Amino acid sequence: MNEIAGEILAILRRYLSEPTSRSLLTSAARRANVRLEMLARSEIPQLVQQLGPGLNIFLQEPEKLQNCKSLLALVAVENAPSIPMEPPQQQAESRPDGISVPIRAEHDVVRARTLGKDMAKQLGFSEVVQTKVATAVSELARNIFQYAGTGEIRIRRIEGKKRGIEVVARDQGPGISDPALILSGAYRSKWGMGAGLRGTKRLVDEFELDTHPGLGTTVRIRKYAE
Amino acid sequence: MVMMMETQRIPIVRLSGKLIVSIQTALSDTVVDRLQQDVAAACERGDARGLVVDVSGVDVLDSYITRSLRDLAVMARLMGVETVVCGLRPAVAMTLVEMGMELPGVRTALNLDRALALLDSLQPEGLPNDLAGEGDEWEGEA
Ligand SMILES: Nc1ncnc2c1ncn2[C@@H]1O[C@H](COP(=O)(O)OP(=O)(O)OP(=O)(O)O)[C@@H](O)[C@H]1O
Ligand SMILES: [Mg+2]
Repeated sequence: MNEIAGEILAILRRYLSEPTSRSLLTSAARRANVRLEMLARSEIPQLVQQLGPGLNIFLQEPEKLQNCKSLLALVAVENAPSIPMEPPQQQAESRPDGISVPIRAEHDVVRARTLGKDMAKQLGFSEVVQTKVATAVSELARNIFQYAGTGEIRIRRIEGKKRGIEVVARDQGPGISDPALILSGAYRSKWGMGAGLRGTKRLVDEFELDTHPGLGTTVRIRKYAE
Repeated sequence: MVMMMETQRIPIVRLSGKLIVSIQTALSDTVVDRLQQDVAAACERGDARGLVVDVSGVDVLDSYITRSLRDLAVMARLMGVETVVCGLRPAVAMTLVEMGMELPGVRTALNLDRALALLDSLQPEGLPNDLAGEGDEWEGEA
């Protein structure tokens, strides 16, 4: 099994036992007519497609199933053949975006949070960094759901000198009228702490808030491996 | 394959006069709200002296969930039931501190055993709730 196949196995292992993961992977490889010892980047999509039926059987919880498939899809994207081995930072910016999680229901907040954590884990971040990323995603996703109704969370890896993870939360809701006040800490929302955005800012390395009353809000955060 | 359409419910276990809640599932807001209602109902029965909320299975506590836990503890105390939150994972604890969101006014313990022992020390075993003194006095003297 080569490195690319190993990456896929590592994702499966998050959700399934070692023997199950291996047998699913080998049988999918057989059906996809690819060899795990020399799996090429271009072969990932067909392999992932063949993994689908097995995952449907073994991953009974719809949420886990969807998360696992999203992560697998991400590997395929991240390893697209057009990407040079050591991309300069500029090019890393223009890479296909990672996972996108639409936020429409409360349930999506949990999904986004779980995916954020899974992805941070996948990138080899420490448990603390994983937790911080997941918590930040949770705050942003919840704000979308609570205040804008619907929106989207995008999570992608940052490659280059500093490895990290980027999360963009975007909505077309009512916007925030006084972001400076909220981030200053003087703000108390009507139901309590008003700690979401300010806390999120403290958890991450980069935090950008772009909001326009009546048009919507975009929050971009970045967290780098420690 | 069974799709779970109903809201998940976190079981509340009664053990020698204490209520024990062990959270082993991803916490959606609905699940947390449901837990609050269920704990309130359990407290209302009047035979519980303490409540332990074990969060060792929780890998993310954001501001809403943290506030809900605090509210749960406050509510239980108003009903004469002391709460101890236990099993906070180190990464979760560090994240909360960094966000500036400790759990003010909520007792915490390292694990379930210590949480139970802490509750026993707050209210001697066997003493019915209404004879155990005015709840709040126990706090400062511990
Ligand atoms: N995406 C958004 N669209 C519109 N308004 C928002 C958005 N996100 C936040 N806000 C506004 O900014 C305020 C502060 O948000 P923040 O997340 O910091 O605190 P909160 O949501 O009020 O409380 P907490 O997050 O602690 O539960 C909110 O009360 C809300 O008015
Ligand atoms: Mg918020």
